Amino acid sequence: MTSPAPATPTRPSGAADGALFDAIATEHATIYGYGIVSAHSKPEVNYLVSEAIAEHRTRREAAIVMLEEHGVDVPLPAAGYRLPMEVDTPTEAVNLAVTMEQDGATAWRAVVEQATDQTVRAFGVTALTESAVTAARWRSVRGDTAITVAFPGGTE
Amino acid sequence: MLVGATALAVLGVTSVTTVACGTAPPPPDLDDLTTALDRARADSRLATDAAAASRGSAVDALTAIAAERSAHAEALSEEILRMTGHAAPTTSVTASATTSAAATSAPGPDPTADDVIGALRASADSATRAAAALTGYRAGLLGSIAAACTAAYTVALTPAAGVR
Repeated sequence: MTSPAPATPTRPSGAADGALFDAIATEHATIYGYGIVSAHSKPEVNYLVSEAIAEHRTRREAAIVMLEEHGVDVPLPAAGYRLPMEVDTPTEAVNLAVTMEQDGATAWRAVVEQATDQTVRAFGVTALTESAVTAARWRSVRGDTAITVAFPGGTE
Repeated sequence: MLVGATALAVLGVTSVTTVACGTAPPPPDLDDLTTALDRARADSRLATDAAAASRGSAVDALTAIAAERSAHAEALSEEILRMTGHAAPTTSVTASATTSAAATSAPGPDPTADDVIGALRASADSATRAAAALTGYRAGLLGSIAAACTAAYTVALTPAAGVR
């Protein structure tokens, strides 16, 4: 009872920092998920797996710095994640990648809407755009007829 | 009574400021939304015309982009209606003067996918700037529009970007 449990950062109550906190947590999950995507993808798409992972790592680190500058404890990666779908084949790996990029777009659009700081908002717009582009690249790999959507991260 | 008077006084100050500062630097939200609406309509027409003049897989991509830009125009019109209480003009005077001359009425060559790429790039840049300057839902809407335009010109119209 005396040994302190490792402090688990709690989601900040403010809407702006809360959305950024959630987006970082989403990036943690996405980076974990890309490990699964990488394990099950065909070698031909290794370039896209590598580029996407690098993009997410860079984004996560930058977002962590922004949240820390607000004096907020950043979310930690979970020890493990339950995947939204079973992933055993290259096709399922691509499906997971598309889903994760769509989830990322949703999380970053929330940051854009909630941000009170223009730097954070601009960062969110860039992240939203990159998520939409990477999602489109994966849909292109999957051979989708429609590889873009009208409102990435939105419900319009 | 006091509360009411204070609110009136504040409103009075606000409206005087708005009227007096003719050169206030931050453009009102309406300008950003109207610009985005004009661009969405113009891009949709341009992509439609380019699709009609194209062949092969480019037709599907251009048709999809025309539909997406049309959906953007619809969402922006709805937001302008919410904001102002009346509908945006069906065709903006400034936009119709420039875009119809460039995109539809001009007797020059048919627009190509490259023309659409150029238009979408400019629209994406414009929406990105507007999204950063706006707040709340409007910032989110413009952010999604910027993201859609970017994905359209970098991936949908540039297939090599998706598959190597």
